[in-house]
Amino acid sequence: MIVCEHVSKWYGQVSALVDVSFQIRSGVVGLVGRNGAGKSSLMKILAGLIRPSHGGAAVCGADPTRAGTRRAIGFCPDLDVYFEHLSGVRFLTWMLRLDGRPARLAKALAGTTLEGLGLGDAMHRPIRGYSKGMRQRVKLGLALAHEPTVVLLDEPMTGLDPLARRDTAQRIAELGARGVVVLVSSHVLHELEELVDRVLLLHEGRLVADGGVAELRALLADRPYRIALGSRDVRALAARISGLDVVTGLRIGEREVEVETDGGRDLFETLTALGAEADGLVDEVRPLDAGLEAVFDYLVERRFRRTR
Amino acid sequence: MTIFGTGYREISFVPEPTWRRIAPLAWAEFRLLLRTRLGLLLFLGCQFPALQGLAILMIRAGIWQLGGPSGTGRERVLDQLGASPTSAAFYVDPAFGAAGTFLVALTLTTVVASRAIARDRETQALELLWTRGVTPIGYFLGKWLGSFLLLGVGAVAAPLVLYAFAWSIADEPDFLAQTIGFLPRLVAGLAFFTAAVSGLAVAFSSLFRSPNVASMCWVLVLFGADRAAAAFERLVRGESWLRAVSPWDAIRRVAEALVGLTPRVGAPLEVALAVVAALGLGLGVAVVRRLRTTEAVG
Amino acid sequence: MSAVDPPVVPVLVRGLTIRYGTIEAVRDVTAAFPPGAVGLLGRNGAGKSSILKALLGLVRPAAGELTVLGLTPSSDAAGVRARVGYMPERDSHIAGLNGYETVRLLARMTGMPDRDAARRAHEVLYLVELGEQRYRRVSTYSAGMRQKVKLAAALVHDPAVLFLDEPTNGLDPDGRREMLALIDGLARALGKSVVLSSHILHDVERVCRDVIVLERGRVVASGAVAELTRHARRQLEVDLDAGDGLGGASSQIESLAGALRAVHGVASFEWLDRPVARASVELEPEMPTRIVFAAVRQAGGNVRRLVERRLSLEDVFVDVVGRPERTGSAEVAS
Repeated sequence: MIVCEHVSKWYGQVSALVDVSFQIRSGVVGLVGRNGAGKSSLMKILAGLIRPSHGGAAVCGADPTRAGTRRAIGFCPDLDVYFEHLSGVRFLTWMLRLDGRPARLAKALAGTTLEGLGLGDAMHRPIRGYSKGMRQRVKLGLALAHEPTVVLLDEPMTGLDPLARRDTAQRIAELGARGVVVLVSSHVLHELEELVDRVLLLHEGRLVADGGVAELRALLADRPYRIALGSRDVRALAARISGLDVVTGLRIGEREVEVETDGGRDLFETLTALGAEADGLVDEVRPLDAGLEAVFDYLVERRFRRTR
Repeated sequence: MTIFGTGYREISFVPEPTWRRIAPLAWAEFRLLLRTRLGLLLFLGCQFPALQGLAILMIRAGIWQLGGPSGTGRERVLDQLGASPTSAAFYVDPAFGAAGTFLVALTLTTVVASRAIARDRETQALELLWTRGVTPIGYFLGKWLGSFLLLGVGAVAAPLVLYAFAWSIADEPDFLAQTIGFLPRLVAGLAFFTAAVSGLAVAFSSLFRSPNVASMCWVLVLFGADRAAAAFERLVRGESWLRAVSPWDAIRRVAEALVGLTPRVGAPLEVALAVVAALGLGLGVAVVRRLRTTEAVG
Repeated sequence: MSAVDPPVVPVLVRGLTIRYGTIEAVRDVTAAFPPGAVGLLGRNGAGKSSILKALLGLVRPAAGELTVLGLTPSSDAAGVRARVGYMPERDSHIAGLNGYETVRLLARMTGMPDRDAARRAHEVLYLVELGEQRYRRVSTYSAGMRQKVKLAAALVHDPAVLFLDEPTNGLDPDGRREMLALIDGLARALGKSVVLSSHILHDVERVCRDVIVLERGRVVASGAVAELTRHARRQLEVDLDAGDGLGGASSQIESLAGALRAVHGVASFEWLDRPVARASVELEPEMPTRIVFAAVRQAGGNVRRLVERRLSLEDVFVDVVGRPERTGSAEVAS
């Protein structure tokens, strides 16, 4: 559905994307990276708003800059610009008519889309009176109203309150379940992690990782796993595990022992045995760096640390 | 105590009184135009009337030889130079007397003063400023003072510098005795003029959300009223009070009266005063109503 | 130093009601903000910014009592604001000024003498890691840098109380972590009182010990995060490794599940990445964790992860504030 082959993009002397290649056939895919890593450029190329300087992108097997292809794409940009005096439903109707729908159909479609997004009451009021969350939902409506088969969402959660975030996440999951291909970018990694089954990680314009979170973590073999062990007797616990070969580091806290391990099974066997041995010797076994945030950190190593 | 090794320091200070906080605001406002090269050029260009005054002084003193060394040619040039440095009118010229001063005041107020508050509204600086220790009125005064300074360089400071210069090169031995009498009134007139023009512009800017719209409307109002007044004057001859329809002329008329010059604007002083007072009052009320503290936090 | 000062409640709100015309934005809110980081949560228009406005002395409450460090904002707004650092949510800057000038000007607006303000502005800009960019115009800053300059301005006068409104907005993962670490340091190491308003509850959970949840102008929940997110019964989430390759894993895990069920209730059981499965176990209060380890060990597997299941703050929020379906009609623009 989405294919990028050796896509590069320069703006004058600044390179935004460097030789990015990937394919997305189905599902909800996350796009992460720091500010300026090239996420928005990639989104815009896939939405057909700009052309790559080098390489090619295809959406549904066709060039996304062609009008015919763009009809199959729903794009939710990270800008916040509207025709403030129009009501939500007029705005959407108008956009749909620009897309070539007959007036009546456009109006009906706009109405049902916004109702579906929970803007049923507000959609006849002018947009300038909308809260941030409502504006965000109008934008989402804009991306979804024409029932696209590929949806590109650039920071769709920004500024939303917790309920609206959960709601949006649910809608994105629904889209995925309906077979729509969704590419969604976000800075809130723990939120994204629950939403997607695959992550593309851009760093300084390059695609540095592509895969599921657990998969990616497993690939980072040189990185020791860090596990926090809750215990009522940290000294005893530390003494019992410090001798294991797989343990490469140990830190004793007040109620926790932090262990670094290369991931061998020995540690877990010992822990299970210790846990079964006495009350409170092991209360908790909590991996510290299994999530997307840890993976992100490890991949985007801050070797050349700069303030952005 | 230190966190992150970057050295967070706890400090204690005695807060300054509220009025002391006006000065930094004014200073920031004053410097705004001078930050960019284009702005600096514009500002220097706006000092043209003062330079003109300087040139005239130099010609008069013979520092700058014009029309050849022969006496007759020089006399003719001197006749065309207008008011003599011993009269107050000479020092009023760079502010609002000479041709082009309208354009100067219009330009400076348009690029800075008439945008002042609208600009802060657009960038949401009001929220940053008002959640600190500055009141809306203090804030307004700061903006006003800044614009006053900007306009005042050409309209207050420059004439006084010219005066000092004229004194230092004066041929007349009794120059000081001749001129010292009008000095307080001259300063009052110039200061009033500058304060009125910049104050109206800053107050005007509080009505708008967008600085571009504000300065556009300001140009329309000031320039439009001037053209309208001129047209009225031509249409209805003898009704000279119509001239005071233009805020520029009304302010000029009052300032001239303050300095004690024979008016160059035909309108009667009462009408001019009434127009200035009405404008000041109207915009003052608008400022108080528009600058509400509740605006500060989204 | 303030970290060891006796714990007084720095911000107190009692019976606060705020009206704009006929609209009641805040209704009879009583809340104490304990020292440390406190999350002020609520949807758009729930009344968060109205309370902040009242605490900064920008609006006069229709009823109720407010104290910030013993001062009353409505009578001594300048005094309160000199002790409070406020970081607005909106992307605000002062046109034309660079980062250093912005922070210095704002320091002077709180009444700092110029010499202190000038020195302190450099310091706080280095603290938020904007030192190198401090002479660039703020209008050319990226979203993250603008957040930092706002934080620097909030810290410049060394306030005892900080109101931070959506401080992680627009920050990328690195920036957000740095910001949270900074806030955490301010609250924990320096003993500042931080009122953090954010929609990203995960961030709130990381730095705040207590939260206050508002809905339609009322307090609907408040207290320690640890208390609010505790399940009524003790629930454990256990990741089990059935071991011995993929072949025998399936039957092995069945025996594991059987062993666990025999001892206590297993709420759910699912495969993660064979041979690892995740089980949710409910324990009676008097049961020790040990028996879970024992059961797994007996069945020949081992424990890879064992954590007490907690509600997320988001679960709590959704529970007290309402169902997602209601969002559309109830939302009011702030």
